[in-house]
Amino acid sequence: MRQTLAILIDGYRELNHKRLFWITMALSGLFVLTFAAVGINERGITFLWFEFPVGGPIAFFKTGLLSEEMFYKIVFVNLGLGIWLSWIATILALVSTASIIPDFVASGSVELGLSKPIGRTRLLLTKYGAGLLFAGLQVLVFTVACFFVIGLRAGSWEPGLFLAVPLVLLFFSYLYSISALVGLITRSSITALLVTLLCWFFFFMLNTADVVTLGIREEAQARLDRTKQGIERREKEATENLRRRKLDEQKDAAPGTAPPIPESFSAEELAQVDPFLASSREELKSEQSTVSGADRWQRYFMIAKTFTPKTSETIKLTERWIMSAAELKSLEDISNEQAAKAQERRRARRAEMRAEAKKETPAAAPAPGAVPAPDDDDEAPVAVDNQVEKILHGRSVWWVLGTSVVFESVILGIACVIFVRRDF
Amino acid sequence: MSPAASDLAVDLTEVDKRYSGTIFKKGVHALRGVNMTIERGAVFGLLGPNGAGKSTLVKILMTVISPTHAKGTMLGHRIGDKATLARVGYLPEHHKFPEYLTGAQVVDFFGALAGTSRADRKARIGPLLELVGMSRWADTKIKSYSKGMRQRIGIAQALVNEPDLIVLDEPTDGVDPVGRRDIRNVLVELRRRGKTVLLNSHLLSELEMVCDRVAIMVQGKVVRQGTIDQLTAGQQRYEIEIVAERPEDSREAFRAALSAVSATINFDGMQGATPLSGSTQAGAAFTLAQSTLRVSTTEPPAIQPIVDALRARGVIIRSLRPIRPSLEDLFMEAVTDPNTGLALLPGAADEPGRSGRSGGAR
Repeated sequence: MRQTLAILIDGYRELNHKRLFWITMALSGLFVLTFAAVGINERGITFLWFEFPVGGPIAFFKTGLLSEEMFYKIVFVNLGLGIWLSWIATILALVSTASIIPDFVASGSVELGLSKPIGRTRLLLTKYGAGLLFAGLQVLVFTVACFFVIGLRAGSWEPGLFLAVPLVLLFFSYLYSISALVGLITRSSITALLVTLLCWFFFFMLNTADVVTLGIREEAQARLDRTKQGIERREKEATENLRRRKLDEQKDAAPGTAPPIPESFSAEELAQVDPFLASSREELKSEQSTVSGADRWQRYFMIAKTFTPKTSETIKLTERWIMSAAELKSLEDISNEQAAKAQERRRARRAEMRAEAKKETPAAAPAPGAVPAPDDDDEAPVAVDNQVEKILHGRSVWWVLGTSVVFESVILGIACVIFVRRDF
Repeated sequence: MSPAASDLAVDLTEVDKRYSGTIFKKGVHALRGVNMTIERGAVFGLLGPNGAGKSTLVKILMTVISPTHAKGTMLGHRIGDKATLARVGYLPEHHKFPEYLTGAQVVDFFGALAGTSRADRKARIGPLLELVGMSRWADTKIKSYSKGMRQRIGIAQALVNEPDLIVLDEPTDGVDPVGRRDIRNVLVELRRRGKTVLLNSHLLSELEMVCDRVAIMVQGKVVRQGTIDQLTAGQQRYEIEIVAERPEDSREAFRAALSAVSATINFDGMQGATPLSGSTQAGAAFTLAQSTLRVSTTEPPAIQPIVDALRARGVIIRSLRPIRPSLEDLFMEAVTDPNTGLALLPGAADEPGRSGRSGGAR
């Protein structure tokens, strides 16, 4: 314990010595000050004693839909966590800590550590822990400051905010384990940093590919469902029309000569009545192919993600836990409402355009009794986005964190084996 | 009589270290069955040319390198035992202390790593810095230290855990003459306190001044080991220089004197320019070079009859002095190939077909 404590204190001294640590801390302070200076009221956004009235589609400030508390939480989650801690501060932390392990294993330095009565595995892992101090201290100070800002400005003392500390630290530790391993093997800070950033980019792209294919699949699935429903509706209408036509023919024909009216009609017969059915069926096939293709790729990405750390999803967990279910629902309602309004506006605009077109070219009007052409795809993408969000949120916490921690453990395990076996 | 195992601070047998070769690098057989003992309370000097394996041997003791094969103990425990290192202080060669720490913090940090309690560290840091002459710079960052100052701090950190065995690898490297004298005094003080010191240094004259025993390593082997007296015993002599106008006169004077004391003279050596040689009645070998007779003996009575015989013949004696070879002479002799007269090459290439690593003590 004495030795572990000594290494951690030394780690703090090392960070204290690094200018980048204090630059990051100062930037964090600036962010928090700005955060504290921003507010909302009935008219819009405020900054210090200035007021910026906001109208239009986002005029929902202090209208009951978005409380001041929720506003601050959203800013904390999306900007504080989503941008500052999980991107900018993380890059600064990786730059700052990349040299810790290479310096530690450098000739002339490693002998001093290895010649002490402390096991090599413990020595390396403690040094690794000291490297995590950078991220730990930064996120702790930042979260404490934000906790007070939200408490003082919105009157909401939200202890859930502190979940950001272990989660951001965990997120950083996935990346730092790679930096530590590469730094140990190559003894080069630059190589460690570049390889870590490259891996991070790969994890990010993998996650993006997963979300994109998930979106494509869900959108295609939604279109598929709509097309199916459309086909069913059209088939029903065409069947009715055909039956009516057959009934009319029966009436006109001599009694006993007219063929009986069948219960159902073949696809060809229905297609003759409704020419759009054939194209809808083609569309259905195409949608099915898109869904199965997207589903296959999505499975591949999921398998790949299972073996890699889930950086973005770990950060997303914080949002999931900081924002309560009611708040998330409320945000979903707001976005749905906005989307519905936008959809309404689009529909009205389209109707106007059709009316104008009808006036200009009356011949283009459909013949009486003909089945109308299918409406344009008018479903809001918000529903698909919500569905994707639901699926992402539905992924088990243990899958997100557990498999990421397994990855980190494997990387650290390899580093320990190398460190224990190497002659210095 | 060899010392009992309990009297030995370090007892090494058959320490072997091979580095495997790679595509880019040839394998090296760095240590080839090193046998070495260091008695408790002794200052032990480890000598050898660059690449002889001294640092490898020290690093094996400090568990920085694992041996391919090793038997033996350090402070009564097997080589590689981590817990034993709490009783060992170590100053590596080319050490790099964290630049962001002050001198006092370096001593404190490495003391903590060695398992020393906070109270003990606090009590020891001041006196230790005083001992190495660094009290004034205790709170100055290492980055502004000179090399000599870093060495002094390095010695202090090696002593903070009150070790029984202190291993110093080139402790006077980069230190000015005053600093060297101070470090020598520290070593003497450590010996006075009963500490065992293993000193690895190139500065032979310094080792000679402080070491009780030395071992000379060449090409991964210990070729000489013992006290300096033991190692130089065969080479100590007396030299008698006389006043003579010509070499023939001095040869004749010595021949007459030696015959008078019944010495056995190699008469072949009397021919031409070949120096005179032979042995005294007491069995001490002698040779003549110019006007100086070298008699291989450490006993003053053994040369008195020769002096008397010379004086009885009216020969004027210019000087009579005992000669003891320096450590440097020993060292040069050990590292020179007797066949070619050239310095032996450092290290040795690994023989083909031999693995680089196997079990052994860890």
